Amino acid sequence: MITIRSLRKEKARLGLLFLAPIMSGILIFTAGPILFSLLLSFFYWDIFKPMKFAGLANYQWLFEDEVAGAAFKNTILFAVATVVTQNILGFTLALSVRNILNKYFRFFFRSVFFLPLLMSGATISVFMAYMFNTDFGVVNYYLSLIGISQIAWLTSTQVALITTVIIYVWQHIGFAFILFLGAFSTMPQEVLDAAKVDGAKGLKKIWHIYLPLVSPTLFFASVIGFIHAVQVFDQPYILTRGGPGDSNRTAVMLIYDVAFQDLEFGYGSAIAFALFLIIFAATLIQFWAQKKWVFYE
Amino acid sequence: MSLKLSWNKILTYLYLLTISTLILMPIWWVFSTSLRLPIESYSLPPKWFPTDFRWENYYEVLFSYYLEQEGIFLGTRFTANVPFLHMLRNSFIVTFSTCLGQVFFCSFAGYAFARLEFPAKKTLFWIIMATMMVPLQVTIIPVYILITKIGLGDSLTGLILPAIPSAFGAFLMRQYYLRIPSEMEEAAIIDGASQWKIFWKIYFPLGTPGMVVLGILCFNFHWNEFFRPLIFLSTDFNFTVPLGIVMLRDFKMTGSVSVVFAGIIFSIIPALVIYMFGQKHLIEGMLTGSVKG
Repeated sequence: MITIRSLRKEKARLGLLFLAPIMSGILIFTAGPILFSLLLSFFYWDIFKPMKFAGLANYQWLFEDEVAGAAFKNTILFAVATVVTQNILGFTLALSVRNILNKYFRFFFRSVFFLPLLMSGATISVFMAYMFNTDFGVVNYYLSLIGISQIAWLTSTQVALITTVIIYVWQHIGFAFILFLGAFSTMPQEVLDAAKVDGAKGLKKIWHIYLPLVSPTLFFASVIGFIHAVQVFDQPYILTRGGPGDSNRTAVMLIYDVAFQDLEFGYGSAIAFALFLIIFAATLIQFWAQKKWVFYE
Repeated sequence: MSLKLSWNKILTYLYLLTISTLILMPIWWVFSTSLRLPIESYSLPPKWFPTDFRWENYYEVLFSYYLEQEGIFLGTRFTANVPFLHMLRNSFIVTFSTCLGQVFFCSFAGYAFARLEFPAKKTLFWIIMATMMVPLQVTIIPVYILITKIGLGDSLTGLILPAIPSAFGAFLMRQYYLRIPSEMEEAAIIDGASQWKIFWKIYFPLGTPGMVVLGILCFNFHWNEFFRPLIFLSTDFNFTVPLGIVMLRDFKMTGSVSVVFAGIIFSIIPALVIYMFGQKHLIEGMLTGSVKG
């Protein structure tokens, strides 16, 4: 005989049993480490000698360290540049693909834009480094044909970060594109019909109808894109090891160097938390703005 | 009117074709270069079609390490430093074990959150959601120390184990189990089925679409992963493919870039296969929870 009570008991037992593996895993490998890392950021530690309390010294050093300053500046610049470029490309490409009536062409373009997302940032960086080589690179060869003299894509302090942005955007075009394509396909038909009746056309139509309608997506794509981009590591590490100088050094590269090359685990954790704060702020803005100013039907 | 419309169309196609070309050309260039003779691998102007079809480059990147152990020397020699077959094997082991573990355990957790009632359910759910927001870089130092202390440093297990408890996976599976109507459960209870049986016979099979999405996203992420392997692994026999590609490049010096590119093609193929079979699922997964990198 099944009673409600026995059923409830059985559900509770199975629920806890089912959750146990993931939950203990997350406690051991995520939640625990977060707390330990926070603790570590207030200590000096190199694994070999005992931990020594540092107070806020690691965080203070973060503000005085010129390399860290450069790294965080690069990271923010990188993230903003990639987010803007990705969104412009993603929006315009999705809009264009939407206008194409042929099913097969649409499928082709969608597949092409999506393709680089499946490759590893590491692999892409390896072959892109050859393409952007100053003397032997394919890119400079074609530029020389239209009269642009050799650009030191990866060896100039002014250009290296821009090159990294180009390579990163090349890989991630598909992400914003797919999001916008999804948003366009769920636009309310009545609004579009009404716009047609009112004679909205061309750029005006894009600016006053399409853009407001997909503004939640635009915002979502920006925040998620930003969160991904501030965590960039593979590309600048493989392309130039952060150089020349510190021009291509990013926050995560700094964590890697400080923690795993110099074995300063305390300072490394402090940098990681500074990065986390940036990501956390972005997430909060996303939550807040979702409710506030973004247009919903 | 009609003339203007067609201009619009031409510009649209032109734009799409330009961007598509910019995306496809580098990949095609890598492929056609991977088939060149060592001497021609850097030729400018770039040749866009393979002329020599030197498939030996592929043979060399796979086997030259092992052949040199036997005293057989191949081509440009630098590949003899890189045990690439080991790396391919390692990548497969890491990716499959991680994804299998994720799909399995996340199904359990997702089902518990979607369909079962137990004490502290809300709290536990929010703990999981909160950890999803924290980037990998925050936990990497303690996790590295932990796996080193328990003797899993420089091992594939050390790479697999921390990757299995995925908060994102549990969340994704929960969304899928929530979509399945609960009438079947009620009917099964009346028939006297146990809760375990209800899960295993009814819901687990119905959760397959979610598992496919999670599996593909997981495959894509871990096959291409670079940051954790770079930190966790130190012996080249334990390296995964992305590390191997970088290692190939670093050993290349004056050798043939074609051989490096042959290695790159090997690293892309599994992703391409997944892409052809699972594009739809992948897009769906990315739209459902575009939180993971």
